[in-house]
Amino acid sequence: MTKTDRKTIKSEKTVDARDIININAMPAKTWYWLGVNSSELSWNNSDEVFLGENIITAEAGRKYSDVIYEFTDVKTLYNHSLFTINAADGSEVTIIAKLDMINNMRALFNINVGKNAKVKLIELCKVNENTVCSDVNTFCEENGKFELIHMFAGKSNETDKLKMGEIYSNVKVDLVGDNSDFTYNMGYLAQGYDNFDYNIVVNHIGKKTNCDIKANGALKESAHKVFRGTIDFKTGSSYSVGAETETVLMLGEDVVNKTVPVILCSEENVSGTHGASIGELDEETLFYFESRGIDKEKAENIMARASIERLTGLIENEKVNEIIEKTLQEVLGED
Amino acid sequence: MEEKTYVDDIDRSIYDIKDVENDDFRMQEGLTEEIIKKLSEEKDDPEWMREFRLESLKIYNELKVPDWGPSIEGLDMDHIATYVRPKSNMENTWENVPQDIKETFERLGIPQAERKSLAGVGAQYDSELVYHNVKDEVAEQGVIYTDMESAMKGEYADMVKEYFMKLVTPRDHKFAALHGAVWSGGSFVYVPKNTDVSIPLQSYFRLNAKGAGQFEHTLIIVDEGANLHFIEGCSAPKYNVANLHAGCVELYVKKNAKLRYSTIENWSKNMYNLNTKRAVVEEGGAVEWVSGSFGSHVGYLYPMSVLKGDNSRMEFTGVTFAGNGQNLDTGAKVVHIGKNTSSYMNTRSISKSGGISTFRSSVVVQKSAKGAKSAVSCESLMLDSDSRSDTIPAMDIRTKDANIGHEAKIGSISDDAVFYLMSRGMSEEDARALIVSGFADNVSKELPLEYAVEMNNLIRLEMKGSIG
Repeated sequence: MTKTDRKTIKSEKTVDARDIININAMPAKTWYWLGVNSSELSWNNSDEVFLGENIITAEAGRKYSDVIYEFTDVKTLYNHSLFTINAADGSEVTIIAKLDMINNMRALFNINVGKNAKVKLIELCKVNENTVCSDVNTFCEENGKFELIHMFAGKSNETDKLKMGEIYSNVKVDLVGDNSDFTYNMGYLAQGYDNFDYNIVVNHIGKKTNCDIKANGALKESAHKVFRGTIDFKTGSSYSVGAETETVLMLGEDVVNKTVPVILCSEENVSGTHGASIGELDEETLFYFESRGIDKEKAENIMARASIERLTGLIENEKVNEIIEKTLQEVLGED
Repeated sequence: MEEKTYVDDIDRSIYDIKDVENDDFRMQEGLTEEIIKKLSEEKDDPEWMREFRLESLKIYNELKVPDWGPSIEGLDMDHIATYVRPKSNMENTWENVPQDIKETFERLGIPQAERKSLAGVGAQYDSELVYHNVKDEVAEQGVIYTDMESAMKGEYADMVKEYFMKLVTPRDHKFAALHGAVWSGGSFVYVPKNTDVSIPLQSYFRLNAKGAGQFEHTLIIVDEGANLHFIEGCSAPKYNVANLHAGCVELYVKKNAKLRYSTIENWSKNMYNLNTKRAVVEEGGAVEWVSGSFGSHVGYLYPMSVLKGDNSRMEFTGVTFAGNGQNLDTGAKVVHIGKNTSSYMNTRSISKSGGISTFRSSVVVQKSAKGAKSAVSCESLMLDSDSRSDTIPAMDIRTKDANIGHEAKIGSISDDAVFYLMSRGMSEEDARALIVSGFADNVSKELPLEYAVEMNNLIRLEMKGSIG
């Protein structure tokens, strides 16, 4: 599908969207013709309904069991929700947010991770024919640890272009305190004409800060995906370490994958790495499956499933893992 | 608290020697339609070229200055002379080149290199070629190596018209349009079918005039089954006003042909180097870029390869060294169109004493490029925290039948490695210089010996005085 086709589909799908919002802008631009410096979100600001603010406060030194928040569908087409999470010094909290809606949603998470505090946010996001924007802004103080797990699943198919789902995810983490830490695991599956658009920016500000970004996903049919990942070592962030890896399984004849893994560095004593591996199932893996009687199509489905399924190994909560399993069954059309 | 000692870079000796300006003609500064018409008149352009220049100027005025790279605010086209003709005709023996110009090239080692290891040499001084010669045995093979003006007006006029700025069009970006409007000088090379030019050709570009621009155009056509190594060198003395280099290189690599294009760029640190290089490679052909960027105040340089034919391939090997006052934005671009095409980029960047080095790349794999393979590896070394090193690679993959890999690293010199070398009697400065030279050996091992030595000398010069 050409760029023009996709634009036409978007405008047909979002006839009532009167505003174009520039989002997911990279901190460092590159050539405009690549179309990755930022993205345009078709939205309707004047009709947007604010669904309220959810404030979660973790008191100092206390540990909270999993807080699960399920977004319930509302009748309004454009919606906006705000989460504020304050984890005081030494506290621990895990929040699970589940978004599986029919209408469009902008979910904003503002998170403050206090000294020696731990925050784990698991955001499970399934798009139907709608658009979901997730915006996670986090500020980590000394020894604060922030773990983010993102599941993005699309269920559209090639029979109806207008039923494409769209995800725009923007993650910004400021590792301000010394020894603060960010771990990010993302798994996604985009199908049909789904459009997934990611922007991750990690600012290393304190000394000995650490970040580890892992994104694994699969693109089927005519799915379109942009991954921007920026690790920014600011002056003074000495002895910090940042790593970013992305694996993309290309399974459709018309998929489009764009990847921009950026490292910005103005500090000498740091170590930054990134790696990307993009392609279809390699022959060795395929041979492994075939030698066990599994054909290529099934093998591809298994691997596409695995992109998301691996997240369950990082989540202890059985109920959450059941949600992931159920989502996978639904989007892959499994009985 | 760690302490670091910084000493200023030493003088770049031979590169910084200025000749007294003794021009035959110097265009008034600025960029207007009248200036372009005057330039076209001075060059005695054919009509199509005059129109091409004027159209390019129009495009230049329409296009915006890029906002994604280093700032070029210090570059004011109203204060750049776009054409400076030295008092010399183009000669084919060094004896006939005016003494002062000849001495400059001798200091740079060009005539000596020609005698020892080159099949032909072109030497440009400011806006015009002052020397061009090709060895008899190479000329007898049918290889054409001449200056662009002669090619445009002589028996290769049709060929020049067919290929000139068709690969890099003036619409490409603002400085490609500028080049189209004011280009002068440069070389034209044609290597006939199945001809193997076993020793390299070299063009050397020297910009001596203060506040001037150099806009040479290099057009190389390597016909089917032929093989060529072309070397490009450039330098200029340092002035306290901006100089500009906006050259253009267009390479046509035909079926099963191979071209290696090597560059050691050592412009002075008042230079804005906004150069454009591009190759199109047909079936079974190969282009190899070897690039060392050491000079310039600001540099934008990303050689691009269009892998049009099936089974065509490219390799890019580059090193960039950004020192005090330098902001060098370098890298490479590749577009895979043909089936089973392959590309490999291997780069090293070094930043020191406040220098800014950015690696920027793009790998585009079009839907037609089934079986494409691409690997990018870039490593950056930060020698102090006054400097900056950024890595901005991009990939746009539109076929599932592709295998794309990318890896990048940013880090500093290992204290353990420095300690190891010092424990064996080396000074800290020498130890660090050795480590940096080793870090850049991806490029030096790809260069002819003389150039590898020059590159290592440049690294040593840059490293001199940095202890930390």
